[in-house]
Amino acid sequence: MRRTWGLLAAVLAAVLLAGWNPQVAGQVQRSITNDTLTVALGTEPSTLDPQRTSGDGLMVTKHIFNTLVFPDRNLVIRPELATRWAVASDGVTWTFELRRDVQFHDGTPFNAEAVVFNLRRALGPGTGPSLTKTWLDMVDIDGVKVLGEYTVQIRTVAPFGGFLFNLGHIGGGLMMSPASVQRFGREIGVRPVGTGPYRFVEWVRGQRIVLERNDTYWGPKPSYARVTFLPIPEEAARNAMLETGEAGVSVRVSPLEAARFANSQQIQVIKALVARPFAMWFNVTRRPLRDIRVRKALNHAVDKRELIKAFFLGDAAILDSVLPPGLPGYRSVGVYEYDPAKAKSLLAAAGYAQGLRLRAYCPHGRFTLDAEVCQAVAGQLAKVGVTVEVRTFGDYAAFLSTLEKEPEFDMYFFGWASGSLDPDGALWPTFASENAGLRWNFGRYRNARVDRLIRAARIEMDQSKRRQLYAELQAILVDDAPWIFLYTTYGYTGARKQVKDVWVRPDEQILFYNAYPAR
Amino acid sequence: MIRYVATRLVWMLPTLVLVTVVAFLMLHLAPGDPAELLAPADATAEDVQRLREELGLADPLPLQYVRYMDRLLRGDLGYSYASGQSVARELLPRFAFTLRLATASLVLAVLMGLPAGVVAAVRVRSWADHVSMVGSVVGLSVPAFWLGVMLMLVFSVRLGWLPSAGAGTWKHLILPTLTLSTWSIAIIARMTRASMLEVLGMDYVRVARAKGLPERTVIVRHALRNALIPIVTVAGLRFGYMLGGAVVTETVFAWPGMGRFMVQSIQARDFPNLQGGILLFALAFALTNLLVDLCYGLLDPQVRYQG
Repeated sequence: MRRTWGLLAAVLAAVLLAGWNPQVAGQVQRSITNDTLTVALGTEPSTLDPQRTSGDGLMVTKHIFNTLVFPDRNLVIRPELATRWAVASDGVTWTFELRRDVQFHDGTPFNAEAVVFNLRRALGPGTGPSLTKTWLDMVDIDGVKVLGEYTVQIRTVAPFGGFLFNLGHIGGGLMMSPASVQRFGREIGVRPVGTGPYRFVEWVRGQRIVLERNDTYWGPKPSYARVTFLPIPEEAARNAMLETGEAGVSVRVSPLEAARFANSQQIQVIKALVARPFAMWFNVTRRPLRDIRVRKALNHAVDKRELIKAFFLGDAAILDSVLPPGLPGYRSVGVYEYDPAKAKSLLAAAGYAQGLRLRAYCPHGRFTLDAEVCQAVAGQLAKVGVTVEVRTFGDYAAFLSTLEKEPEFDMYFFGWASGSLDPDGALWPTFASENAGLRWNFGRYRNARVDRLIRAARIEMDQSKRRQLYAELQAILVDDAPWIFLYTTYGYTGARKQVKDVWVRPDEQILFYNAYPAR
Repeated sequence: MIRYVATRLVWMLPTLVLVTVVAFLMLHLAPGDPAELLAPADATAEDVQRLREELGLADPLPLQYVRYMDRLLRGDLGYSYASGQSVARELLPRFAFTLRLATASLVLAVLMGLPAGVVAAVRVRSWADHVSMVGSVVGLSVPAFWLGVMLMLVFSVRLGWLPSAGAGTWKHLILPTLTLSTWSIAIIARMTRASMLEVLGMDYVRVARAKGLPERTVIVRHALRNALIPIVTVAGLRFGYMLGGAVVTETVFAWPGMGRFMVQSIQARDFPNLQGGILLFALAFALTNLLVDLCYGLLDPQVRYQG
């Protein structure tokens, strides 16, 4: 009996001690140094295959990989692995000249063959789900050709004015080493090899991803010798780590915590506009909402300022267009002023003087305070006699499939971001009638004028002409009121004060290869 | 006894098969489409449909189940939709972390809860009894989320003694263990007290005292040993439950265990991960139950195992 208990104790001790690696002891603590930047990420990437990852994974992969072109801080397309490019007069045949001094981290050269390999891999059949497939779905795979060792041709299926933005998407067309892809097969997702400013060192699942500076990088070499990404799902823990110095950067700080850090000696909050407009999207096939007077009435019935004050401590911008400020092509169109009397008279004119019952679908937990804002909007609409029955979805997947399959709703709360940071990505999926009833035009919006303009802007190669088309589109769409226009928010990133030049993009991706420690 | 264990193990098989069926049906009948979620934000409806076909989700359910079982019987748990890695490779390191946290919590719970309960029972209605019972009510009612964040603020942010979150050293284990074991300490203390009070009033305890045995021996050898059976039951259930992954504690402390992993997999509808994870829970729970049953035999010689 005594022996049995002793055995049990030994087994318990073995379980507890198994796998302790004395080398990592103490490594994680106090990591504010001039050498290593530790970043507390919200979620762990599912994979580091740049053509398959998403969300926070893209932040990590953009440090390891390059794109052919990439937008700068002002969202102007700049060369990365491509030095020059031109589009032929047919509007579909693009030629890219590549840098000649680039090597992958495994020592193999980067050249036109590698570009063709990567596009084929990403777009060809049998590669499974691929992010690049989506960003580059306009690429005609048979028109991707090696023209010379450092010259590559890429043909698109139709002229597309936003092509460079898709090619420069943070998850589009990132160049992987063909030799390593072939060597590692499926494993490439856990041992990525690119041309980027950092090379991959290790990924301990659930614990950390470590990158180190690529000393043979073709571009400006990063200051930090190492960047370590820690997946810390809970905001309180991320911020605690920032306060203790276990982390140098904490992503997605909430407005309240950001206000708390405002007076901190050690911590700075980097505030950046998020290019994601929030709105209640109407299902324009429902009877009351077919009437533009009702749509405008509902816009006038919502006090945006009050929502921003109540939910975002006043720190958000009232949405004044279908595009978010900061996106290329954005133009401020105007705001439906809060005017309950006008809302009531518009409703009366539409034949709803006695009021109206509507059903709203809202995600819960997908966006900041989504369900709460929904309830508040419903509360405001009640004041003009519109009763809103709010149905919330804790599960985002269920929310999306319900929007697609059960259109018995009148409106839904949503924030849509253009992944490519080009206006086409914001307007084509959401307003083109081809997509009515599909993602992301769940409101079944159809408007022949809008369709014409979206298509014209799509194929226009002259960027200033495109801008004019988008300006016209924004004016039409705001006037047609397909949404209750609400707000765009700011994203807050916490960083130790000695970490300088952290680049927070309007798509909430954060890049560290320009960051440097204050001396 | 070997025969008994072997029989129990064989009987686990139908249970596990049933678990695969139920898990499979629940996952596939629940709303939400993995392809929809896996597809990047700007994906078109065609992209999603193509993805659905590539994942084999467009086939009839029975065919999908047969394909899954066929692979499973060959020891292949499949590949995660999101990461493309083999499910076994995803699950095992996480399970190791969950096992470590659950074991540490159980050990702490027994080391704290048992003495507290014994003292409370022996000195019933004394200040020690009141302190430990009030403490256990607090322990049962404090939410893990709040406690975890408070411990972190005190021991990491204020005092700087322990790391805030993450895993890797023994120091990382302390705060999650404290958080996760609080409830178990409390329940074990209460069970021990109740169970001891019952036993202490029995004739054989009076006899033992009458024999002139030292009080210590009476309590530890005679009373506690008999009081242990319900306590082992509770501790075993609790351990099995903790092996399922402590979602809240793991999330607060970024502990790379099963709970957080399963929640992520549910949100992504990563069916291969979920099926593998559920199967592993079921197996772990069944084995824990078996261990508990074997413990009864250690404690009470009257328990005999028949195969």
